[in-house]
Amino acid sequence: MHILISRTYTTLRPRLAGLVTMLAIFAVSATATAQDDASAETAGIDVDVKGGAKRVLIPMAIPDTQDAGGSSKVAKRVQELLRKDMDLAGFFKVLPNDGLFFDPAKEGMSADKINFQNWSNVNAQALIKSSVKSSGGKVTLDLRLYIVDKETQAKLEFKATSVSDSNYESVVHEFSNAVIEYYTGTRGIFGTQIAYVRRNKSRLKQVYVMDMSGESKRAITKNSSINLLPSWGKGSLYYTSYQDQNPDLWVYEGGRHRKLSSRSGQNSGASYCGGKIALTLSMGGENTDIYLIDPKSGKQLQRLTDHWAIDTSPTFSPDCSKIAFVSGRSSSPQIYVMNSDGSGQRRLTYKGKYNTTPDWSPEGDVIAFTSRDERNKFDIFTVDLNGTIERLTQDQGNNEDPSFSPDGRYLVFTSDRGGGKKIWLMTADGQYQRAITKGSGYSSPTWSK
Amino acid sequence: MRIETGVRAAVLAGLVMFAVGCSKPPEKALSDAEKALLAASARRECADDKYLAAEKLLAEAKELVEAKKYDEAESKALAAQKMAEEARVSADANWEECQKRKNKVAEATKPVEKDPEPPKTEELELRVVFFAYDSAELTQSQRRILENNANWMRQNEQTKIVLEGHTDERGSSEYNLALGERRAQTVRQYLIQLGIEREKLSILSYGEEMPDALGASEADFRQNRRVVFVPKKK
Repeated sequence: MHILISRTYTTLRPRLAGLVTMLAIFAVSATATAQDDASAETAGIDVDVKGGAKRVLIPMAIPDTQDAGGSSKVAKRVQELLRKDMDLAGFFKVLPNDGLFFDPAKEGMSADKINFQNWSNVNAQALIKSSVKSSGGKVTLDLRLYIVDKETQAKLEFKATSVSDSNYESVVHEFSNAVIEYYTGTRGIFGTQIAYVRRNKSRLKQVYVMDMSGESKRAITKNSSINLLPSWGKGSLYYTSYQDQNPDLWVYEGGRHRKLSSRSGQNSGASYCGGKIALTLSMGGENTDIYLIDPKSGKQLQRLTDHWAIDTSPTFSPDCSKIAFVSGRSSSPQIYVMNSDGSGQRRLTYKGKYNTTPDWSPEGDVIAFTSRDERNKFDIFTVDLNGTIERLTQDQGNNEDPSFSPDGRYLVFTSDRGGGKKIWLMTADGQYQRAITKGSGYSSPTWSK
Repeated sequence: MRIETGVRAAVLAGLVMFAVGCSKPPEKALSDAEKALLAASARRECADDKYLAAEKLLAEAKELVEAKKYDEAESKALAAQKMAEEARVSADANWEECQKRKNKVAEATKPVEKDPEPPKTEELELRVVFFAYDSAELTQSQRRILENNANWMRQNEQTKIVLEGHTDERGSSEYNLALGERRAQTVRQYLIQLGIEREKLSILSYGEEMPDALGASEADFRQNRRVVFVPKKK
């Protein structure tokens, strides 16, 4: 728990005081640093959490987006995106728009035309006002955040401009990111991409990409084969495909697909860092080990592991100096770490008999992984370089394949809770979890880095 | 095999607790002897009486272990190992002659061309080999199946085989890719030990991607942890 709290704390700014974690120890330091914001004594809404920790959410109202001319469809979509982003952020309780005792549509956009008392009466602490106008293929967005008890507009790092009507969604995400920055000091990451795999009815699997809120899904592979294990490079996407009757590594970049490594046997799990790719190769089935290859030519640069047991699933530390991986050398799969030249290999996890799918956090402090627990359920944990383990999911079906967001504040993963394997998003403390896809058959979500 | 020896060792270890002063059961010697026998088993038909002698010695060694006569058991096991190795060497030495002899016998028993009766040779089929959870080890019964499949391959000399390794759906898809391959590799190793040419065997792992049973029960999982022999299309 200690690590979890200190991590959360370092990402906070005074304005966030009282917002996230209300463990006694934290509440004290938070109050002590709360200077410029009277709302430090938030009457927020508690989210059910385990272990005594509490995440307090700020109640936020997002009344219907106003159509200031020729754009009722866009207005509806902007409203939808704003609500989705704010809900996923894990910092707000988005209030319902129906059943209000007043009509927000009669309010204007500026502070002097807003009845803050009304909003205060429905317990809103934050208020997002939005209006759109569209003409001649251009969309103009007016997006504002108000602090209800101060009756003022929050100053955001955000400037709305007129954009083409195919591009306005990214502007909404930028606004959401600025709102997150206002409350936490660190910009949000809405609009970032998640690659994943989905199985179709004929048992084929294709690689897809969507944005963080589960929107704008598009297929990357469209072949009649099995495509697996996507991962991100610099402006490129790696994946393993059976389209040539061998699990080869392919890369998708600049709109084109190219075979990058087709050694006989396994070519999988590319991790890109600093101009190199760490990759699992089995060299004709002789042995499964981790190698470095060149991202352009696919040529082998170095063999990093050489053990008769399975070594697989490499993940670079953010500074490219280390690699975490899975090895079966202690008779069960466990998480190991080594220097990126293959030296200093050592075991990190000692609990559990099946620990796989490591993903290094962008801060470099922990590695998220999947573990099968004593009840044979799969759950998500983190481990730091001293071997200290934190549990993030529990008693909610099987949870697997974690991948950190670029800012380290969230993870995506798969969960079969409620039936059907879907992609879920959670805050890095595990306290706030939301499904971002519908249906079933999802696997291997991986966040663009 | 490793599992069986492990269990036996555990049982014996328990017994040893009561019989203070006794030396330990000769685990290593036993397992070495078993390995040597296994290596020789593919050539047993050409290995005159030495193979049978080795088998007998190993059985006696095991009986001695049961009787807690560990020292005697160890020397028997060592003798068994030595005999098995000799069996293999002598089988290799007269392999060609032995094969010729076998072919002659086969020729002689071959039905004449216009025999109205259908040939009575045994119809072999390629069978699927199964594995325990998170394991690539072959059990005794699965080795029998491989011996059957090896015979099929001898009957169908021209056919090359792809060994497709599969796992159940539990666990990470990338680790399962490696595990499926490990299973196919174990099978290939054993077939080579049985005398099948390496060039006739290629391996391809599908990990958890191509389940045979689509459910999620233990029985489904068991059915999916497998290596399938797929004859290569020419």
